[in-house]
Amino acid sequence: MKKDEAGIDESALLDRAAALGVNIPPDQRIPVLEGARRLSDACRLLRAFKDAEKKPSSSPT
Amino acid sequence: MTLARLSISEAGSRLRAGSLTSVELTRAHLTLVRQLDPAYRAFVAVMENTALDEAAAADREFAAGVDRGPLQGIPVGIKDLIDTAGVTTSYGSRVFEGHVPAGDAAVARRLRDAGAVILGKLATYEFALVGPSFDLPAPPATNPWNVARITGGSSSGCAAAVAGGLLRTSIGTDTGGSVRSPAGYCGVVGLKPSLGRVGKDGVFPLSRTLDHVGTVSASVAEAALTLDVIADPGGDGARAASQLDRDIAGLRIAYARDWFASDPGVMPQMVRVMDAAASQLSLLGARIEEVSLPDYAVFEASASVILHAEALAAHSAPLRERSADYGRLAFQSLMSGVCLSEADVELARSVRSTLTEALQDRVFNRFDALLTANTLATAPAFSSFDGKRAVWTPMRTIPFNLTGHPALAVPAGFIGGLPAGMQIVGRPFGEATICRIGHAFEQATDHSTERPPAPMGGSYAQASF
Repeated sequence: MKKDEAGIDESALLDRAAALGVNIPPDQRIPVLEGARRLSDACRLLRAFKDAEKKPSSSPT
Repeated sequence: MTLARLSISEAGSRLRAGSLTSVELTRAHLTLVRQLDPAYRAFVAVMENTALDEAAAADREFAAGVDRGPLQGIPVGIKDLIDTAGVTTSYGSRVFEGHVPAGDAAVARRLRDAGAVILGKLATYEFALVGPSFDLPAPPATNPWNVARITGGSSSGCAAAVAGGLLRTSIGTDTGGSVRSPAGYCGVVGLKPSLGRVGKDGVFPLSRTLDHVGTVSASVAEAALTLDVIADPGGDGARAASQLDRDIAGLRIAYARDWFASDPGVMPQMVRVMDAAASQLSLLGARIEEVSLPDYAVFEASASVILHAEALAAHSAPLRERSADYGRLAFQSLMSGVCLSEADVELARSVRSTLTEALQDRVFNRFDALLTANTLATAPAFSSFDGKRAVWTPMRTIPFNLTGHPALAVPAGFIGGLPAGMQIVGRPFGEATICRIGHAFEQATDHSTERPPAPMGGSYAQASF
């Protein structure tokens, strides 16, 4: 399994594409992975936002 | 001056007075299209014969005393993402090359019912996704202010046609800024109405919950007139044009300056343009107050996840059957969405609700409108794009696709000879208020009256009547 630096699994990505009936040509894999990495970063930011929302806000004493 | 330069209201007055016919007006626009569009590439189809038939029908109705409203007899253009019965509509893609819809989109029906003359179909980024692309059946539209610059997208043909003087108004779509950013780059007015204000039936979906139908027009008044024709009834937006002349003294406008002023991608001159615009609105009597909004990056993240998930779902069948016919950029953008899980999308939708409530609480419960940047820089050169992978240009448009608030892009100045613009955002279904603010600004400045130079090989003088 190949992992890029942001933790996106290239093999899993290709498998998911294949499950949709789509082959990602070799010369397009890097740009697709870059896009997937941006979306993965977006999801990480959203999780951090929700986590921060759940924390009780500190109140002045 | 060519008749095509008449504003919609000026042309409408002459049409109703009998001093101008729609056929004459349509021929003037067609002449300009023939002369200038080889440089602008705004049109993917010019509907000369049917347009002249529609113009003749409008003239017969004027003669008979039938008045269908402000767009009767006026040439308009429609983005190639929007179905038009019997006219090739390829959504900017080889995948649908030669596709001829059987019926009109809802917005096209409204234009026809209003007696508008549909002059042609306008260029779009492939499926409204990403561009400029250089591997599609048609090359990308060019920016009339400098044809070596991009128009922005995806309503690229709308902005090129209006900025180049080929049309006074047009219909585009906006899923993340596709009406507003090209309007900003090309120095014209872009109006993204409230979510649900204009019907989307017959528009090829990019993202079913973020898609909006909007207008690209030569002025705020013409955007408002167009909206009044295409909007579903309800709210004050249905009468945007009739409220333009109310002054803006006393209106409370929030200024989201920290949303863009410290972004590494912002041109310093753009910050000055925005500050000058805020000052101008203050001089007109509006009460401007800086506000702090939730982090822009969170809006963008939420919208990006939703957009990619919904786009992939919309394209599942054509991707399976025709993946080799997609352009590189659209294919890459769509396929990047396969990394998303249902949980990711659910999270993005949850954040969407939170942000929408936050914007309402922090801004629209206290203010009549919000002022912020549109694009953070002027139009980049085509040489910045190789067509092999997407290049992202910074802007502040997609939050209002997420929240559904109406947003108006208005020219606000020039930087190095290229247009720079601002964005005015309103309460849900508050299109009339943002048009009123934009119109007051336009009347107090001359940014919207500036015209681009004629492209090499064409001139407005040649097209004079």
